[in-house]
Amino acid sequence: MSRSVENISVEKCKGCGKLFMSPVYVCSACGSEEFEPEVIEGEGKIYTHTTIRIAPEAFMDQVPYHLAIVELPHNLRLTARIDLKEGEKMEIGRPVSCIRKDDVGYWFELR
Amino acid sequence: MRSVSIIGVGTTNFGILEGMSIKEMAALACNRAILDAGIDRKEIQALYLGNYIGGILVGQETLAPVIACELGLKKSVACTKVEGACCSAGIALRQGYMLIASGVYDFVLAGGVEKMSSASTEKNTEALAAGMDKDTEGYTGLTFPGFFALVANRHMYEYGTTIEQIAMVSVKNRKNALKNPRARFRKETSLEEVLNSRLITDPLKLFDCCPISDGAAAAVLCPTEIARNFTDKPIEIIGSGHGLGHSTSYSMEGPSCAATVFAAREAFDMAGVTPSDVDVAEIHDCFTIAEIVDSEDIGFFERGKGGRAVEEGLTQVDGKIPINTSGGLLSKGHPVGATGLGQVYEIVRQLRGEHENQVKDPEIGLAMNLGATGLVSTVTIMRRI
Repeated sequence: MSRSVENISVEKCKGCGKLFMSPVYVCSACGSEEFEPEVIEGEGKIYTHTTIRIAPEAFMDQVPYHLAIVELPHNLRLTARIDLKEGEKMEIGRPVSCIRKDDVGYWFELR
Repeated sequence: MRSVSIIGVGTTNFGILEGMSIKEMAALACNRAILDAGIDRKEIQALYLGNYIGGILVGQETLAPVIACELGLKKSVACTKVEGACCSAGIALRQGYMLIASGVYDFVLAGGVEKMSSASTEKNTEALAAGMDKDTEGYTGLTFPGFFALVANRHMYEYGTTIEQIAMVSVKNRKNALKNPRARFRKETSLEEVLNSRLITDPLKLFDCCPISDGAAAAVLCPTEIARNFTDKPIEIIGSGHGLGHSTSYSMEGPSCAATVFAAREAFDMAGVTPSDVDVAEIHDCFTIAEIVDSEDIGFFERGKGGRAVEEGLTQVDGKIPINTSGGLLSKGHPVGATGLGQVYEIVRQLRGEHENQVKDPEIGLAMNLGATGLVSTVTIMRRI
């Protein structure tokens, strides 16, 4: 079964080429304030994970929800939601693919 | 740099202090520190007051000058509120330390306060989450318990730390609090009770988490050369460190808080002592796993060995390095803006030989206070003189 993988928007420093997750305002490597948009492939693996059961007021209607730090290409990382299917379990090292983005950020599913 | 000493400490109890306002708690803790120091309050030249979410939860800002008026400090006193999430009071103390060390002031009052119990758990969780980087991570629904759960899962994965070892931190600290009248929870717990408590953010359970609490704590500082004019038991600050970590959890360098590593290195270098010289420590156990990670970041144990150290009893009151003899944040409670000075209060009592859970004849004590997603940390090393 082939699934579509969403790309992830990042920003590339015009001064030194370093890639950052968006948004970024100042390049911590060279001090430049100029960036250009780039995309990277939304394929990664779980660095670590948790399931939130007690949430801030604004997120209470979503509990329980699954969060992971995802390791992406180019040594980038992201904190993202994991869309777990019935019976699925998050594990460190597990490959994940980006499926969408909304107002809580990027969503990944287990691959 | 001049040597600086703590000549007086004061605190309220930590817990659900119903009917006590943020102003009342801060004023009482500060007043008790002034009385403990035996200093004329008109001598105090500056007040640094730690507070994190008083503006959001109880709507009180401009807190430092409000408290100074209540205390009757002189009109030339410089009053500053200090905020660094849960590290606010640790930073407030360090501000006072530096300004006396540098010769700007001779007498500084450092305090910290938080009023949390008047708001719901959800409102507290939301207010605390204001310490997240809103642009990069806050919108995902990550919480502080969630951050430490991310750290816990990674620590277990990298080092084989067990969920039982993590739970043992709670068992130890709850036992330590039995004798501490300032603690919110003064009832023992068992490994089974911790492990069977309600899941909050996997793998952390209710008993892995510190309770929401009210409270305030304070200390009076002066140059060591005149400290004996006020007290027979001055406690010298021999090392003070303040480090920076990462504003996003995804930047973590392993299950560790970089801010603490740097703060500890700075404080130990300044003090000219090593982690093995420390006789008693209060470190930031907002969650069970945090105490394990802190103990490695400070250098009490090798990286990855913190869990085993708890299991082997090395951190108990009679262990190699007694950690959180007060019961820690897990038992005392965690009034976020007050915690750093609450820790210093406990260490000063230990070094004076006055603690309810007294370690045998300690000479050097350490307090370590952490804020946000491991973003900011202070380490204070103190010595009985």
